[in-house]
Amino acid sequence: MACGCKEKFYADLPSPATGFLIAEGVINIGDKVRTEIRLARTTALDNPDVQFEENARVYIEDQQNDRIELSHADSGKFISPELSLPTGRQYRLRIIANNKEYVSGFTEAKISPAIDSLFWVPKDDGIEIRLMTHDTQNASKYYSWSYIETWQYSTPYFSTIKFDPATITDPILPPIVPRLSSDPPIYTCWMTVPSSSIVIGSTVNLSEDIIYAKPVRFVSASNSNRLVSHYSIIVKQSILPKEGYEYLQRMQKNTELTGSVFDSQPSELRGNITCVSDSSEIVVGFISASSITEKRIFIKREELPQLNINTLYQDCYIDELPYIRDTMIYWFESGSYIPVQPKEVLGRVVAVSYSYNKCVDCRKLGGSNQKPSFWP
Amino acid sequence: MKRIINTFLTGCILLCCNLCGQGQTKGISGDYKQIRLPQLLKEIQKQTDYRLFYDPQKLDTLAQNISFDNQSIEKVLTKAFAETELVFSIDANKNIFITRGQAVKTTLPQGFLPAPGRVTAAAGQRPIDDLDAEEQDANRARAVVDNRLYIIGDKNQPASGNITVTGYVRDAKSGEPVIGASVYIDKPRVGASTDQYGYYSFQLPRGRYILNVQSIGMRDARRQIQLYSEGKMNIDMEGQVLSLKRVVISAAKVNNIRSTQMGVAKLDIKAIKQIPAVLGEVDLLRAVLTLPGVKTTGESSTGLNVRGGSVDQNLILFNDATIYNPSHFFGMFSAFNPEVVKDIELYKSSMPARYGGRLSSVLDIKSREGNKKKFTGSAGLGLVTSRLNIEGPLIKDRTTFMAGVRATYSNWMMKFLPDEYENSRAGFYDANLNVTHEFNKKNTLFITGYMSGDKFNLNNDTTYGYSNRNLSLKLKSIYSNKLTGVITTGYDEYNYDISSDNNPYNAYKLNFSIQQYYFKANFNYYINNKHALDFGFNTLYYKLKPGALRAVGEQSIVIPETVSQEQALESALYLSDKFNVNDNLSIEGGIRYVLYNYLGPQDIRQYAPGVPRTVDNITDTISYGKNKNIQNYGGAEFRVSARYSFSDAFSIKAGFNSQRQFIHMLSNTAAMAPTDIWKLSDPNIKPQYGEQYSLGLYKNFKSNTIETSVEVYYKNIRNFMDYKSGAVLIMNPHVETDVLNTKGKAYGVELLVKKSTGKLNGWISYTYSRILLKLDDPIAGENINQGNWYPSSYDKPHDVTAIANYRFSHRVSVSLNSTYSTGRPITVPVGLFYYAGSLRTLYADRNSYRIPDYFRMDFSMNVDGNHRVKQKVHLSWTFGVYNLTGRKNPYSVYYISENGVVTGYKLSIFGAVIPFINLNLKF
Repeated sequence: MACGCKEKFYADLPSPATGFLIAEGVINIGDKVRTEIRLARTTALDNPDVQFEENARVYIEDQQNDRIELSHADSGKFISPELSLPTGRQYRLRIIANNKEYVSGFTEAKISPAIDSLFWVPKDDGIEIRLMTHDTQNASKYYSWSYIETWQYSTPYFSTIKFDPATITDPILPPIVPRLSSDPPIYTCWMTVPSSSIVIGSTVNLSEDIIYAKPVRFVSASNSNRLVSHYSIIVKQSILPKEGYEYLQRMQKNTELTGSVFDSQPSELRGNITCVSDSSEIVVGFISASSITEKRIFIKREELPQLNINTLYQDCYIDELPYIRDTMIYWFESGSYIPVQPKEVLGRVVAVSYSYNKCVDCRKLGGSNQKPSFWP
Repeated sequence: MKRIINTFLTGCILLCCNLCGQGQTKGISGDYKQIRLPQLLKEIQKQTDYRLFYDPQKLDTLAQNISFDNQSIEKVLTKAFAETELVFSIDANKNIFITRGQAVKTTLPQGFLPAPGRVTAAAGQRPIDDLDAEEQDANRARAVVDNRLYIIGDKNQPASGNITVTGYVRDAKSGEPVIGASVYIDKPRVGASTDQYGYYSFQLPRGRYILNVQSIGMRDARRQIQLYSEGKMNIDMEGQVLSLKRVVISAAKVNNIRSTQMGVAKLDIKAIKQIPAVLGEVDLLRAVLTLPGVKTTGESSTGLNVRGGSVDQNLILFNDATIYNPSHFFGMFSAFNPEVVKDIELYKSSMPARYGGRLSSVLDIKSREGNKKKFTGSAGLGLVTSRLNIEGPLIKDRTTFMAGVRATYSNWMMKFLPDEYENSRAGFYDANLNVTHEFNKKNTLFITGYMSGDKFNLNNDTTYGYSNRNLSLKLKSIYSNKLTGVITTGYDEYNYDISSDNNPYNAYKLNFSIQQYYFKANFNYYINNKHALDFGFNTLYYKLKPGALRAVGEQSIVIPETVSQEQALESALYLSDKFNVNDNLSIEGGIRYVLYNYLGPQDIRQYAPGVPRTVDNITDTISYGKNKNIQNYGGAEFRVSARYSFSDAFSIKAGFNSQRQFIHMLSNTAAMAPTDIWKLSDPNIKPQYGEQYSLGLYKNFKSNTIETSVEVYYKNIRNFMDYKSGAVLIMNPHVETDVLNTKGKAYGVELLVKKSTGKLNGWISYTYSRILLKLDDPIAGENINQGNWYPSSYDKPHDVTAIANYRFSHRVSVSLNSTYSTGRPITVPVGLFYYAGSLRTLYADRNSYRIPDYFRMDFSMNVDGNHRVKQKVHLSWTFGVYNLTGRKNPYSVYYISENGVVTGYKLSIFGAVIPFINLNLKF
């Protein structure tokens, strides 16, 4: 491109006092399911740390004045006991926080139809995950999806040995010992990342309530290592009321689809939660009530077309060190480097190959070495 | 042109040579009634053996009654020339030389004596030097025409007070009318300027006068007239061939002081072509943007904001046709072919009473008429478009045509644009056809057609297309010397479509269109020097299809949906009088009564009173039948302006005007988007109303070569449209639930210093202006900025523009354009929140922050080939650099959530040094 016309820019903006309540979640309608609501506070523009609201009481209410309190968990989460909330009623949330009382508007319980299929199509630089669903009742109309991606990856070097820090204080002990099955595995990890963008769809213009091949997620081959081995995605679907759909659509326009020439200007956003004592107070969030349906797929590397996949390990290399105790301590004590394989000559270890820790220990990229329960 | 004059002159000389008499010296007798000099001289020659030498061009055409009874030639001639300035001399060879003013000496010093019978000595007033024969000829011809006495009317008709003189001023070469030429007489000070047909009219008492004609790009002309009774005086002006490049904006040199109008700017195409343009594409609207008081939201848009008005408050007329979308290519280039356009005139303040329907300005774009004398054409090759233009007479001197086409040929220029456009494709064209037919001297018909089309695809699989189509028929008639009229009728259309067929189930096409049929009758009645009336009526029928969605393809399950068609009638009657109280004071007062009828069939939603307009508050829907009058709006609008001149170089003007607007563009994007829809006023959407007060001081220096002005204005606007947060405008059958009525106030000062002649010319303008809005709708249901005044998205208080042009020679000139303005207001986040897996920005007050200031400098150089008039093909080049400093002027500053975090960006449209080249051929 001839013009570097788009560049990062942070205007020197005032950061007025903030700390408005944010409430996010879906009142989960279904058989023995839990509802999870997350509360937080808005922060100043220069403070990107999420400030969760931990001191609150949260209730689900229906129009019959039935009320269930949610219990507080960590990170601003409030979780209900297992419930089987009946459909055909309207529900709302009541929140008491910081001596103020907030209620969401009563919202009709919606039933999410099953996701018919989840599949992928090849794209230039990756794959696109698409979804099919339909509602024969013609009642869903406004769909919202969220997803969680999980993928498996392995480091380029399989380490059979490890540095034993005990050698620092006890020179008798060998600095390098074999890696045992009781040691935590570091070769293969699973990374799990929830969705961070708003995915919504509507069939209101269509004669049938059919979502056809809706793109849910584009998985880039070059921007991450998602497609390096096995990739899985679970998509959760819930149904929104019209106002809830419009709210998320506007939030998407304000925060994800703005800035280009024909995008509309950002504007104030009001959800369905109000402060009982001061209706002008800003509250972020829209609480809807819906059942949640989900579908998971697995994609193996072998199924994928030819792609230039980023392993995130392109800069890894392996080198050798003479097997000398002081050298071993010097190199491996801090943990920045990890020994990979011993090099033996006539049964004696003469050298040790090693690499950066991130090239040997898969956890360094953020993944977990615990295989998820659903993984095949 | 010169060739024509040459032929003409040669003819004259031959004629002189052949006027040879014979015979002996004898007395001359005769009795002639109403004889004109040429006949008389022929008669004299028949009776004598003298040879008469004269230039018939210079003979006065007045007729006289004269009789001789065997009188000598000297006495006869003395008698015949008594009422003229003609003198004669007779040499020894019986040659008589008739000249004006000074007699030819028949005896000359040795060596200077011309050969006997050579008449050039008499015809040519000045010695011929060998510098440029063509130029000499032209000068000579001009001098001849200037000195000739033209007789208007019949001498024998009794003189009664003032006499009306009318006529056309035309370009002698092409026969096209010269618009805005000032035609005046010094003593007494009487003058007029020509209208768009080159027509002028004024009144004088009987007598002899020198008529001066001045116009931009034309040589000043003079005519001596002898006025007896009402008559016509057509004037052909000669183009200023040698000084091709002049920056001129005002209608005439002294007009800024003398006219009563304020806030009027005129740019002729020569000046426009000089302004360095984006990618070298001569752009009318961008040229208008250099004028004080005219702004735009950003470089990506050519939408004009005039004195705080929104983009839709400009009436853009192209030969009387309303152009709803005057831009191409995402709004970046204007949709007018510079080869076709003659000039543009922008009314920012004093809007003539014949215009109405928009609040802030009228932009009147006029195209040229075809060449009346011969077939010519031009072709251009630029980075953006190629152009072809041909014109010529269909019936010589009566019917002419002009056709012009312009089209883009590649998508490559996307590369110059930000990433946002990277995968986009775009194409556009526009075409013009003008035919002018002169039935007779009094009736001329103009047929103009215009068509433009755009198709593009913006970084995704949705395709956009839009087009303008306009056709107008105009009959200009002269009923009498005092009364002229123009009857116009036509059809305008603007439509767009959006389509996507990527997903077979969701494939759709959405159409929007506006059609309008209009009829206008405008009359000018010139009562006397003190009063000139302009009156007429116009009516406009709107048919608007706000949206039709349909499925495309067999699989598509898109429900076809149509937002019901709207129709309305807007009619107006107007009268304005230009009253010259005395030499110093002139007042122009106009009244326009406008009536708007919103017509059925339509379903009108009724909302519960006193509560916010939402779908939930609809109490009833009333259906109206076809052509049923649903709602009337209207009232009187006033257009008043006055001028008081303290001297020829200093005047003060004041004005007031009010207007109403019944059709509104709905847009909540920063730039004017091709998907913006228009909406007619209906019972739920009131018309916009605006009034403007203005005051100006005008002072010229150095014999009117330097013009300065200060203009101040204040505007009130009612029912200015703004939008609810997250408004849905497209395919919304109840759009009134998403719009808000605000009231607006705009005020500002515009300073201008302009030098329009000389090697160095140009202008510097400074504008201070504000446009503030305030939510003024008790039942809005939401509050914008706590109900306080807030700036609109194009409020840019300070603006300095300097345009300078320096002419090195007749072939080479350079232009430098610099502009600075305050950054526009944008809505910025006030905080962050975490939602749907990502940190996101929170917005509150609208337009509370300004993006960094804007500064740009452009340079261009124009090189013309030689100026030989007879050459078959004329070549000219323009090259230059847009954004010389390469400054990355921000178009917007925005925050976006990507991968869970918020990133701030600054987007510039032309954030680099952009060189360009443009080639033009004239044949």
